[in-house]
Amino acid sequence: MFTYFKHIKRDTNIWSALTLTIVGFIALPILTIAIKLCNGPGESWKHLTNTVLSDYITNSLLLIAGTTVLTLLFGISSAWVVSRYEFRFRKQFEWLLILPLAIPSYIIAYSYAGIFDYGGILEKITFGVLPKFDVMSITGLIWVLSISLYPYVYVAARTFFLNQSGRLFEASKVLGVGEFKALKKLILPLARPAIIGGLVLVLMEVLNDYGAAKYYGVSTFTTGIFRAWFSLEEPETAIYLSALLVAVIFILLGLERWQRNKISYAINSKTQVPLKRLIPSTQHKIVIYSIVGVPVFFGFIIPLIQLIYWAVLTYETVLNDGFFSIAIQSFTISVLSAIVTVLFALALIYFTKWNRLRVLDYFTKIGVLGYAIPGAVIAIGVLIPTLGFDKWLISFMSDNFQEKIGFFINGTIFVLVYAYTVRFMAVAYNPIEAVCLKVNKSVSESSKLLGNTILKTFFKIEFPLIKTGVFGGIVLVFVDVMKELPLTLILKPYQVQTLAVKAYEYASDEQIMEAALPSLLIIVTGVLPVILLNKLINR
Amino acid sequence: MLTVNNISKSFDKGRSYALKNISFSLDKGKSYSIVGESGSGKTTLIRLLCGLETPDEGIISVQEQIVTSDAIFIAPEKRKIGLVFQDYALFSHLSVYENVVYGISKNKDKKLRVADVLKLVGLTGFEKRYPHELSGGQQQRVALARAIAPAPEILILDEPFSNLDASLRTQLRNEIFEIIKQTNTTAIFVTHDTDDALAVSDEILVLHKGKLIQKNAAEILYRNPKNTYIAGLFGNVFTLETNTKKEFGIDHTSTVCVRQEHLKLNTIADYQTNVKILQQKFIGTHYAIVLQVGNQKITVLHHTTIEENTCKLSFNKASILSFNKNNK
Repeated sequence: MFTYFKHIKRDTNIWSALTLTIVGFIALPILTIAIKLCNGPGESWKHLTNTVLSDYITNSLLLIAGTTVLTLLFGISSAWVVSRYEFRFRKQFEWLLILPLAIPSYIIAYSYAGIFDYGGILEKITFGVLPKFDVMSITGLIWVLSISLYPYVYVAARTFFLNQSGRLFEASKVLGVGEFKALKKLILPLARPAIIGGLVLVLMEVLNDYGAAKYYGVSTFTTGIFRAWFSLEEPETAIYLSALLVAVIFILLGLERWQRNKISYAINSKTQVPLKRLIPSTQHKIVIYSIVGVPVFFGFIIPLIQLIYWAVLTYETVLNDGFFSIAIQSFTISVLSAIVTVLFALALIYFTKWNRLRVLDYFTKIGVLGYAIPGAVIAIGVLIPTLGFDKWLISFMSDNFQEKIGFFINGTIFVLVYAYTVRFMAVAYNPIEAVCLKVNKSVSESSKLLGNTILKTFFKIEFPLIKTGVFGGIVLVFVDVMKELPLTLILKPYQVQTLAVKAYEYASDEQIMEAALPSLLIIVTGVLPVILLNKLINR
Repeated sequence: MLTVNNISKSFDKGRSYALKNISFSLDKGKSYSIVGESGSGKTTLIRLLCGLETPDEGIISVQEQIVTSDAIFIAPEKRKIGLVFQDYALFSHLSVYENVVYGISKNKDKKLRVADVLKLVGLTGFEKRYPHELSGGQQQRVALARAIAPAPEILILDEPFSNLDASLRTQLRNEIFEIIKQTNTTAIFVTHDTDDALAVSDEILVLHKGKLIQKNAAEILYRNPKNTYIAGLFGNVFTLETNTKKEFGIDHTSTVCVRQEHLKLNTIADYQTNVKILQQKFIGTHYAIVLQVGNQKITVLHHTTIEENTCKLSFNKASILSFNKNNK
């Protein structure tokens, strides 16, 4: 019989222990939530289930349904048009269509609130002819989330169309099949896994959203978690809601995996044939420009104009020493978190590789689960064990040394950076792992066979080859941390302020116009990597 | 020098084995080839020797010291085994000099050693070039220089000639063999090409479906192969069917094979029979003559065409390779 654990002693090394340590460190918040569930819900859970829970469920499901339809519509149609047709400004539209991703949903929500407000841009342009539309509703929220998140579907679909569909079209043309039938019967079914992969990212962001839903007054799971934590002061109830939310997300991820496994989508072609672009007729051009114009106009240009307009009105009051201090704090925290996260990602990738105990490979994936779990849930998962540690430390110091100390790690930046690391591990891990896989295995093996340790091999041979990917990972995490809101709101130290939190506070305090400048700064830092991402796809 | 004792390795938890119960030992300073078709376990075997994989069972020792067993694992960097990879695995961001100096330990005169090995492989003057500025053959030599620079006890070359064209291949094969002989290193060539193996090795190990089926000097393998599979590895071999054996008057019950190069036309030999000529085709150095012998079609290489429709096919007794039914 094959003995799987026969060589545990031989194959266990220092890297096995370090791999487990990192996985444990990253998984701690998620495990905490799971363990705390066993303690039962808080006192108001029953009240909650009788009253608002059905609202949370209904609204979250409506959001999922609405954003699914709209993001698929915007994402697939625009991706198809830029991949299949040649038209003026096509190249510009290719990356313009990704830009809404650079604006956090809550900022788009603020600007739409302004656009549809009494005396807002819309009323001025249409001279008040149009009937009033209450954007601060679930319909408005669906629109706002869809118009800001459709690029996830667009990027996934476009990558598939560009790389895979050329050969398929050639094959179907040889069989005498027309354009529309090929698209319906061949391209879209084959693109389904890629598109659903993008859609799952959209839905995770939808369920993670706090800022937009809170501002529009729509009760969702995430706003419910905040209410339970801050207003009801019942961590147990917040944890129960978190668990429900995580369950919904895992069902979504499970469905995605199930549909992927059902049919083999591997395309049996080694050569990628670029898709030949068609020249559209004049009538077609109108449709094409509408398809690419609507998402860019409503997802990027309109919100940006609104924000710039507000910024011009308010810069004199907002742009002061305090603002610069917040900007610097925001940058510093984001850079620090990005570097720490990337270091952890690198450590997890390489420690797993250097460890010879292959059974540990299964655990590595736990380390990247954080991205699937909403920021608010991770914040609670981080807060509970760190508070526990601080309380233990206080009583330990008081019992053994008669010293009275305060919280050691809570209320410090350590907890915040820790939570960002857990949340954004996958953002760094996936691209860096992809770059590492491109490094020929035999290159690092020859270094070892030439008598060099794995650390020397890493620093002298592997790192120079992956450093661009590592830098890319830092940039991506940096942008995500700059935008992050719910987790930061719960965990940030009292004296620390970030641009995202400042924008949220202005908006919550009925100073929506003042929120424009911090929002614009977040957008500027977000646009750069979006362009970088687009270049990577085109490579 | 190197002893492998009962090594087994499975990649699917024991459902199938890439290598099963392999045992052999190699002597210092000799050249060996590991021969086998794709999937025979050649690459797995050398990765186990280098310490790039761990076996499920068995012991590997280098110079009497156990480097792999159920309880012991010596890291690749401490084994003093050099490996020239099939794709050369040169460090693309380092120059030729930096590539070669990379594995030389601190207490040696590095510059002198690099100069020596580059001279040995005929690349003096190429120190500042980068891998992408070299031809395939030159890259191969850099990979070899880099591997021999730290003076390993054993040097393994994984399919070293597979990326080279035919003319360069023969030239480089002889050069590399000479270079390795000069350094008195134990060398293991891994190849699926028996011509390469015959040209560069003192002994050949034949792997088939994860098992070591024969280890002998090249001539012994050619003359006394253990089974029809090994016989077929070193050139075309015809296994005579029962009717064909009758035609020649052979009454062995065992399997009888004859190599193509031992079959003669219109020549007197120990066994002969008249056969019908089906086809004659010019193939460059020879004519390929297709013959009908009993129910069997046999192709013989001959230096001219034959005018008649029939001819005499013959071979000597010494050419017969006979195997018992259980020698598979």
